[in-house]
Amino acid sequence: MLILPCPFCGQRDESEFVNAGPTKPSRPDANVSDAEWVDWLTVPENPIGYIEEKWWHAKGCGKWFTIKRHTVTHEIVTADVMPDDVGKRTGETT
Amino acid sequence: MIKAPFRLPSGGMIDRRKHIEFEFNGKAYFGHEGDTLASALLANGVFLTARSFKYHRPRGIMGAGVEEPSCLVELLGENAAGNHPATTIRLRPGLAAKSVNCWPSPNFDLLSINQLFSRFLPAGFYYKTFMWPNWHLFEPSIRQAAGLAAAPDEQIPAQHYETRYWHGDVLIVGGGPCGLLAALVASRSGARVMIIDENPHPGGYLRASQTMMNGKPALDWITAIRTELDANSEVTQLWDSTGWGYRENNLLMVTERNPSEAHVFQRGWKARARHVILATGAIERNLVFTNNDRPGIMLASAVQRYLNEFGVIPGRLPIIFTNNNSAYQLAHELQAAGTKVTAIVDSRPTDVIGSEKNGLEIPIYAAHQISTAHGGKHLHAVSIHAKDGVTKKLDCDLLAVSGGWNPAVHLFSQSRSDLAYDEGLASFVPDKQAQKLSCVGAAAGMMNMASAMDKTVSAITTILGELGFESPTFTLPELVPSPNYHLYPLWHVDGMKPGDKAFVDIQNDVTLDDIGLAMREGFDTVEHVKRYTTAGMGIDQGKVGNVNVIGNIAKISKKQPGDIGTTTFRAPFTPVDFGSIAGQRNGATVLPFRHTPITQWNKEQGAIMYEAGARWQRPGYFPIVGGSMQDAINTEANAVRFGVGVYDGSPLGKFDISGRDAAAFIDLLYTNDFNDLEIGMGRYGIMLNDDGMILDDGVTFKLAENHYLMSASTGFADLVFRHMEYLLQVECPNWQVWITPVTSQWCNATICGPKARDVLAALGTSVDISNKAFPFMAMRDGSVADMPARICRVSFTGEVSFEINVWPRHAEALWLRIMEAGTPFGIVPVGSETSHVLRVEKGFLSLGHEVDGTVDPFDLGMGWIMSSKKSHSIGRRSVDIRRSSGKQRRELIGLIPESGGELVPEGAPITPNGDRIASEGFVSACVWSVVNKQVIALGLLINGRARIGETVIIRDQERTIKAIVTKPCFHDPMGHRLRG
Ligand SMILES: [Zn+2]
Repeated sequence: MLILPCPFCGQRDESEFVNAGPTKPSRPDANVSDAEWVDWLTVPENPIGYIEEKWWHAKGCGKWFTIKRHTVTHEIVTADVMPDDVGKRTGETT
Repeated sequence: MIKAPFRLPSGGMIDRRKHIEFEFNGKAYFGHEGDTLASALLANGVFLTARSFKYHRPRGIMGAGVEEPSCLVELLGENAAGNHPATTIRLRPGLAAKSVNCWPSPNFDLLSINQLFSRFLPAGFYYKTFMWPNWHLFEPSIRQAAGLAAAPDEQIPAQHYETRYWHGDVLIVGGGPCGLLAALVASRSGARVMIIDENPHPGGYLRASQTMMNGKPALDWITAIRTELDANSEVTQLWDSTGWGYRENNLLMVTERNPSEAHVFQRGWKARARHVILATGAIERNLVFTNNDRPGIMLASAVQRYLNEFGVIPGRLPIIFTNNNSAYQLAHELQAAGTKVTAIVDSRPTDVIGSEKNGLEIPIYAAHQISTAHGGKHLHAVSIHAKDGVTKKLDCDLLAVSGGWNPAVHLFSQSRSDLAYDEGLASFVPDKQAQKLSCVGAAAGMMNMASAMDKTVSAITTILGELGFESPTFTLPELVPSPNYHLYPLWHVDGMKPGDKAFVDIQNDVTLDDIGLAMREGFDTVEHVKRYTTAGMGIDQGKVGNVNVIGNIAKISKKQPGDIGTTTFRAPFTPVDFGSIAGQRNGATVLPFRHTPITQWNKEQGAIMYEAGARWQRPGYFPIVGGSMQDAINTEANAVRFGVGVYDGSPLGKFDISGRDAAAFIDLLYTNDFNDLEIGMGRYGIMLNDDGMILDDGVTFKLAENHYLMSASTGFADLVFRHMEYLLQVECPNWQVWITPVTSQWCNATICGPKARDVLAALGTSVDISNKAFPFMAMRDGSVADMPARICRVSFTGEVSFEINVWPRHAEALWLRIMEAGTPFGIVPVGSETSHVLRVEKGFLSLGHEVDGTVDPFDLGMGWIMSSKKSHSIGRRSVDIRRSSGKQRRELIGLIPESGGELVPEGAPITPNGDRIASEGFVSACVWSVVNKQVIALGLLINGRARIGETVIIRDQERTIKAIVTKPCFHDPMGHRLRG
């Protein structure tokens, strides 16, 4: 069981979190091909090494956040408060 | 009281004043406080204690601790438990145990006939036998013959398991000389320290041997350390506790078997340390020769421990068989105890046998091996042979064997750290650490105690420095110099013939022959050999045998053991009670139930309570006197269809959604348009996952501009919340939207049926409830029965419905007023079963029935909900791609089964012609319809909408049922009634 760095709550036990798998690339624009869409939807990264992934502090503050974790050693090297795939949605109001 | 014949008149660490009576295989014996079941049995001369797993060969006790491969017992009575090694059971008054694997007793075991048929039980026997199509013919008898102990089915009376967390600086596993030393140094530095050991008392090898420290017995040194640790509030000592699992981020799973609190049966610890020190010692190996499993053959280290810790020498004529010099210490100690060792048989040549033999008045057969042991139910002699082939037979009743030592690297390996093969030890030692941990002492392959303790000091000093603690002062104890460990590997003795029963894994009855057979059949890696022969797969996990398996694979394949490698070490290190993992998370406390304020009233009415999803407790139905469950459901359903009913809809998921971008957010979530929704009105919507499959459905009301009240399915509300928070936080972080789950802030009673409006009028309300002023899908704030209320006109039944939402504190009062005001109209409370009937009659979809993660709105005939103006809603793109493929899909249909009034099981497959072939659909729901007076069903069927009027065939195991395909609505298809 991991210790995860919640950007609000600090180091907490994995049992408080929900894992949502590898961070997806930004949601594609409407004009991508069907093949590109399906690729985005169904092909997650699965490296031996560092992977960026999403976690939800479900039994805590409710924050969704991103960490970089080594899939073999479980070393966690970065914890971003803000994910880097911000604001790509069409129709965004800000 | 009969004197225990193999107990020495003095010595050992047992309390001889305290006698303990216990029972083994139905006979009564006496032992002492401090005994294990194994030491007490040996003291009483009970040597035949078990039968083996496969061949039912007679077996005795081989080890003295967790390594025991041979004597498994089942504990009876209170605290019953299966498959414990006798060597790890502390003797206590009233203990009753019996052998496993034999019936009726180990002395007269009917299944021992397996020995005669052993050539039919070779390696891979299970794989060769349990093959389709006839495996089920063999399974029951094999299970019975190979049966280990049965699992207990009683709860532990008056005690419970619990879990505790610990976070600290240094965690030391193992309380031997190096572990204790590390704990002492670390504790003096001010660090928070935990030390654990699987034995009831720390000391490890110091208790099992006659080691002197500073010229005094080592126990004095241990006592001094314990006194100091006791006084340090930063130190946690867990004895009789096993660290059995090494997880990520230095988390150790520990089971404390005898907590001081009487009400705690066992305590599971989740202990996390900044640095872990493994001082887990080493485990002795067996030697492989013919009949090396006979009762009377034991590990040398075990004999030594029985002598020193328990005052027991389990034989009169001992012989020692070794390939190394560590077993000579046993000879010295037996000699000092006045027992003459008949011989030492040492496979090493004379010239390498050094100072270890000094002072021994015993014949030493150097460069000799034991070829076979003699005796059936007990050892009585061994045959030895020299390199030149000369043989000799020696009488003995106890054979102490030592095949060398394996560092106990189990936890180290579990931490995902790497092992390396050490030629000098002929075993695997810790190499590269994957986490913050260190190995010290014999666990690190350091077999000389003085230098191991010296190295422990430098290791702990470095660790404390890294953790920011100053190293304290202390003095190392003075030890009597001992020779350096020396061994020549002996993977099996010379001159073995095919068919010889020489065991590499005693517990699983795996012989050297089996290893050879597996490799000849092509299973030549260590992982394959393990699985094919089952070597190392027993409860002992091959603690004494695994390295011998590896050595023999290497020998047969003419490689080095280091090239073969080990199998993966997995938790648990020793068997663990499930209870100690679960702690108090037992029964309903695992996931607490959720109740509405009406639960008590429901129970008083005799309602049968169900789980309605997400642990919410709802009445399933209200039984009626003298009637069946179906009668009760029919009564409730008739009331709603033709009179009036009321149900407690409080568990329905509810979210208050507000903020500048709330409208845009609702638009993103749902596939249909919400832009033109007026304030005070609600709309049904479906939300999809990104894969275009339905995530949930529900009604959302617009309370004000950019302010909504969304409902979600009871069982899926938590998932919907997660989905919405993900979108807002990850994909739309600049949007201003706040989501407040208000499921428990609003309770509701839903009055439904043709007379619903009359009941609401009788209750008294400030709201104009005429159909004109308050149409379907509208909501109004006001009062009902003088309580503040929000009334919504939604319908999950197909009839006129008023959902009256009030604060939870008013819910029960409202409910009682409704029952009172509704009595003249014949109102009845309605349970989940009836809700199900009503929604099936209407063809309303249900999450978990029709919607199972594989359907989209088109499949349900709801293509109209996919707004043509919206391409950006979640999941839309995937639905479009799927539709464009033109593939036939399963579509929602109604079914009228010709089942003679009987219900068809929900989930039953529909197959072409009813054949036993791949299904073309399934029955998602089936009920007795009170309006149609027949059995009706919903289902999903390939290309179903084009097949209305067809007859299809449902399979219910052996039986087939014809059914006519209909539209998926059996009542008021135009919806006039619910708008009324
Ligand atoms: Zn948090």
